[in-house]
Amino acid sequence: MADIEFKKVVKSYGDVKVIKSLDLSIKDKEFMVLVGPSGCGKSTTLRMIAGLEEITEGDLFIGERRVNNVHPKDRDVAMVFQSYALYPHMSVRENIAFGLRLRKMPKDEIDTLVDEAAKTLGLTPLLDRKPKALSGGQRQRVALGRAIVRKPSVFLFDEPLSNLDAELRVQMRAEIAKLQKRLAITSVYVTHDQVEAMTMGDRIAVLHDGDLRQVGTPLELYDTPANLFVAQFIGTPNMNVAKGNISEDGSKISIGSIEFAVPAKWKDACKANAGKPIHVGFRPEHTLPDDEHDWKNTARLSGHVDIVETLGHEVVVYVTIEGLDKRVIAKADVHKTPTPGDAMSVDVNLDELHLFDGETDERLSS
Amino acid sequence: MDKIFRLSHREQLVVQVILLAWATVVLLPFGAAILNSLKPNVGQVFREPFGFPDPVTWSNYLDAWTSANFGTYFLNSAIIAVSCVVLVVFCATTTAFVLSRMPFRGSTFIFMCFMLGVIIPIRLTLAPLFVIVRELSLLDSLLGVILVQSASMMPVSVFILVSFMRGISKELEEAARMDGALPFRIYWSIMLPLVKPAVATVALLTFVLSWNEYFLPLIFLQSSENFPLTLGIRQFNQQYSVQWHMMFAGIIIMMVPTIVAFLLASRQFISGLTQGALKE
Repeated sequence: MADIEFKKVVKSYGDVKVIKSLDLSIKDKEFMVLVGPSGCGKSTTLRMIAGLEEITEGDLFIGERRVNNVHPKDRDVAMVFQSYALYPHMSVRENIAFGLRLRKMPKDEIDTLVDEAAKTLGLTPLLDRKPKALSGGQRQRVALGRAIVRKPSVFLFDEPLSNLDAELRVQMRAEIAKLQKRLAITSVYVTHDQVEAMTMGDRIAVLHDGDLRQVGTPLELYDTPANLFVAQFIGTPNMNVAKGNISEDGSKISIGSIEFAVPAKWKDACKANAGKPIHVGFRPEHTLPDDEHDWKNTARLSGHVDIVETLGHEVVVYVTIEGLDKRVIAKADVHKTPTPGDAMSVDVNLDELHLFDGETDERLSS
Repeated sequence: MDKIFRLSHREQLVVQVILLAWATVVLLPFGAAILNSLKPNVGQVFREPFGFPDPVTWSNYLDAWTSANFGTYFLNSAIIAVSCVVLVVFCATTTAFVLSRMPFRGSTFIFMCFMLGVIIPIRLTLAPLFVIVRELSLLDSLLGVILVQSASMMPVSVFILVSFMRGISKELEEAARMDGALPFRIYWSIMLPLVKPAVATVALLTFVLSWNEYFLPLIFLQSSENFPLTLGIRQFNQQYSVQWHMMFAGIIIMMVPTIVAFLLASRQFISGLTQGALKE
């Protein structure tokens, strides 16, 4: 059992609190991704699990054991670093075996384990090379090998793919996820890339300014973001957000000069918040040209095209909306690509709206 | 390549002439010393200071070695230089490791003290040093010279090694900690191999400076059986003041170990001097 539990964990550097009060449970064998913008505290959280950062307040448990004051070597945790952190003067074999040698394991046992790990990761022909003679992807594999050879109870990954090119990153992403499933070891993965987070994690924890903003499965975060930050952070292109108001009787929502009836699923929430300012969010894929959908409940936004981004399988269109003084992102059919300057009307699927409190930025409870 | 390296033919010529002139200035006395050390008598040295020896007299070296007690001086120099190298390399690398990788309250102050040591010449502190060595009953002993000489080399060695160690990625150290390494293991298995060029630089500097040191042995040693080569050469000069061919043989004997040391360590030494100049 290697579940990880943060209980009101605080990390401060002097007067600056980088982690404010973290409560987070990571289940045994789960792949948890910590995601957030630079400086949000995700790497610090990971390093606290590793034992590389001291915990200022609160408790951290790995399994049943409180590990606040346990040395990294006694936590049974392995970490893959952003820069791979391979020992440049040692061969691949020595790099992988270093941790085992320190544990005073017999040499033949070390050899067996290293060979096994090398085979798993396709490193066998490279065992005698120095890190200098390896490509980025191979170095990354050696770093993984060094982590898996010890058979730890927790894997930690600190942005391990950020130094790789786009193609290799996609490949390694799949390999790491597959390896984690096969080894069934609790893993915590830090990234600022939300595509990595969405594709790899069993669950995702979104951090912002040292606060945990939401934890959930990738789809939960995408479909029901708990607050405006998560709504805008998860999803590419970003969710469109406009300031609006709920009418006094709670039956209508207005955004600028555009007004529409409250969708069925938001009726109770709007009643409870009647007359209040809100943020109205709608994703680009729920914002399509008026002749490219069969949605029943829509609101029409008209304006002119600013920018067109052709991605091959789809087109992303930035449209400046009249009466809203705002640019929204819509998607369009590749065969009907508009050109900048064209007049364009887009429909928003009101059944897929997201409403957030205008003051607290929290999702209205529907 | 950066523009600074693209010299015109004329500029290249000027640079080459300057380098050639410098090499001549350095090599001429050295060449003359070798030639004169092989001459059969002092007359030939004075008649043709730059002429070839006739006949080539290798026995000068043997005579200098045996008749002037050079064996003892050489051994004393070797003991002093090698002990200083071992002591300085161990003390400076461990000190630099702690100062650069395990900072504590006051570590900056200690580093500043070492920096002061780089600026202040050890000769200025000779009076208190003499008292300390005397109180420790280490006057006229090789150990006394070794300790003072090593201490005098510490500031510059710590300075070189701290700069190197600060340049090593913190993640390597953290990876070692995750692998289960404690501080001494990180120092021994990770840091030391990675700062090998700096260690070679420090070892070479220490060896050459302690081998060539004249002043400290002069102050702290009295008995001729404890003299290193630098003091031995002075004795030898008094004994063979007119035998210049023998003097030259003695000087060459004294120079050989430093040249050998430099040749052995030169690759590491040069990479130590240029390390950090290029991004990996």
